[in-house]
Amino acid sequence: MNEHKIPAEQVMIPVLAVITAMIIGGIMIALTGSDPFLAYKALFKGAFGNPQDIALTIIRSTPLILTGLAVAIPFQAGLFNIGGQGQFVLGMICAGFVGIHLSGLPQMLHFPLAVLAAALGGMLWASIAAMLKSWRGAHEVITTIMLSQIAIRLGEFFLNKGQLLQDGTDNPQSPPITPSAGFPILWSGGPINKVHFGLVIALVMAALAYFVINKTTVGYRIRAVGLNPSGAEYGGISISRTYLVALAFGGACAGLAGASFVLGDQGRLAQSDFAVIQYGFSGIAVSLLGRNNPIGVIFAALLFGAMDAGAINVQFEGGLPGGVATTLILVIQGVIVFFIGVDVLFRQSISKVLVGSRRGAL
Amino acid sequence: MHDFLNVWVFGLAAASLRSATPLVFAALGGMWSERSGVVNIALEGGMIVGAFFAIFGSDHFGSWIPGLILAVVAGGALMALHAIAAIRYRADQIVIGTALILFASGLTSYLYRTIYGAGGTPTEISRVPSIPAPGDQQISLLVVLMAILLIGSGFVLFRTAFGLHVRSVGEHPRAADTVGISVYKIRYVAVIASGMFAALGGAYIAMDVGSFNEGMTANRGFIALAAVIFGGWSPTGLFGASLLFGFSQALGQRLQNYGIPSQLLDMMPYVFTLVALAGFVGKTRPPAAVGQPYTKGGR
Repeated sequence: MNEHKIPAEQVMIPVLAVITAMIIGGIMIALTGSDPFLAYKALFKGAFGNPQDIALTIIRSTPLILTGLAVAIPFQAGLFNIGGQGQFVLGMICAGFVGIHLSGLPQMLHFPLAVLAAALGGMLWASIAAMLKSWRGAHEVITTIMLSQIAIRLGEFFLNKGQLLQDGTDNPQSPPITPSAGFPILWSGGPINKVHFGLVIALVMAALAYFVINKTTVGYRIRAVGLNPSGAEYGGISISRTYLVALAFGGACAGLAGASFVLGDQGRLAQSDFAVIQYGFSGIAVSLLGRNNPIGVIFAALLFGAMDAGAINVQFEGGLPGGVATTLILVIQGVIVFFIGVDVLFRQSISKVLVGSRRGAL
Repeated sequence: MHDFLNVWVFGLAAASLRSATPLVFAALGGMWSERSGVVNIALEGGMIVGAFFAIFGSDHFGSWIPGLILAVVAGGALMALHAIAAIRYRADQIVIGTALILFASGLTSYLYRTIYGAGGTPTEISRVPSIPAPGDQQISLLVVLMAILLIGSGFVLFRTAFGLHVRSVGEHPRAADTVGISVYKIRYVAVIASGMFAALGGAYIAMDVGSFNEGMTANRGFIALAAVIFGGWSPTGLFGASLLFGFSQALGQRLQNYGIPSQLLDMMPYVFTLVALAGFVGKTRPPAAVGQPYTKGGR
């Protein structure tokens, strides 16, 4: 990459990627015989139309901030943590165990314990990948994918035959968590949608990640290893320890997303949460759209959370057949990530525009 | 005794082969792509696209043959996007792979819901015919195709000039370029072919049940990816790995009747691959240039 960095790129590339994806999504809506503008209007209204919708947008964004950080932090060290889903699932399992099996504790002790367990679970899962990379040279992309699949099967095992999280029915689901493990409610947007303590955790973790990456020695090491591993090692930085720290931090965030989902949002675990609820996988898109920057991640998560929340309304007011909107959002996510991947395209056009306008000013 | 043979020998062998077949197809695709130096984690995407278009084509044209052709074309088209991004725009191959997994899963669900809606795909569609096998078993013609492509891939990769070119481009693209091999062209062919192979894997899964369901490939693209690595990027290796994974799946289905949790057996492919990656069962080595974009005339 010889092109000199234009600061505007950091904002322009994600914005252009989103616009391009929305246009492609719009064309697909038009192909189904619906009005894309009406659909997007319904999407926006569904996400921000009234307090209840705004609350839902926040609830859906919360785990995405955390799974986005799970990708963004290791990325700073040059690692691609593609297995956030597995760390998210481990977080759900650990939060479930502590949240269901412990009782008689005050809420101020119980839910933090469950949160801690979830963070440790996610941390452990990601650390396996870090250790396999440091000791055996195994690529983290493959190991985290494998670990994700293992975590999903592990979760299914616990909800089926394990008797450990099974609620005694024929359904693969857990009993509800003990009320004292539930997150405190911050704001009730309506009778159903309640913004919970998970938001505080997500924002604190984003701020912490920003601080650690940019203002501490640990963060300096992470960035140094990410930019030039051999140079960093020559400068006395332990690559393996840095990998471990970065992945453990990221894994903890994904685990916290699992805690937020179980303790704040659902109140129990169900089998469909493991493979169908793709917060862990969507975290990749969130992180890439946020340029792997903790603050960028918040905005990207808000965008995806809003799309997720608004999708339901597209069916009611946007004129799209039932369930089609949610599938289009997946397409839009894919297209966004694709265009972030081929950012060279945008970079060329941005520099053309910038150079052109400068010439115009002269 | 006859029952025992049918259930536990022929039955288990046929079930293993049936479970292994989609993995072999997709893993062959992964092998071609990675041998040429392009990481392809989007096999799952190629499979789901193949699954949808096999059923759609068979339904639309009334015969399984155009169904398979459409599946292969769609898989190739999906991976053409991968190829353009990874080769022409030198994009990060993992990022593009992730994008295509999201895109393919969204696109197939979108098409399924707009075309078929709540009713699902028609129940009576033309399916790939089966041929009889020992022990009252039926083996799909696609299994035969799998065997042909497996042997053919081994032959082409190790015994032909094209195969040598693919391997050289994946190991040392600069050297290959120097002797006049077009690195870009070889990679385009290999990556697009990987989508076609993966699509056949997905088509097999859909044809096996005769309908399409959202997410029906159920992460098997990732098992195929595991088979490529566990099998050391060779056709015989990936076949052995796929068979092992297929066997553990078939065994899991049978043991479930005895109260043994299938989830733990389902975990095996991934655990095996982790162990292999950790080098505890002999080190597997990827092609040297895998994952690195190539710049002609650069350094």
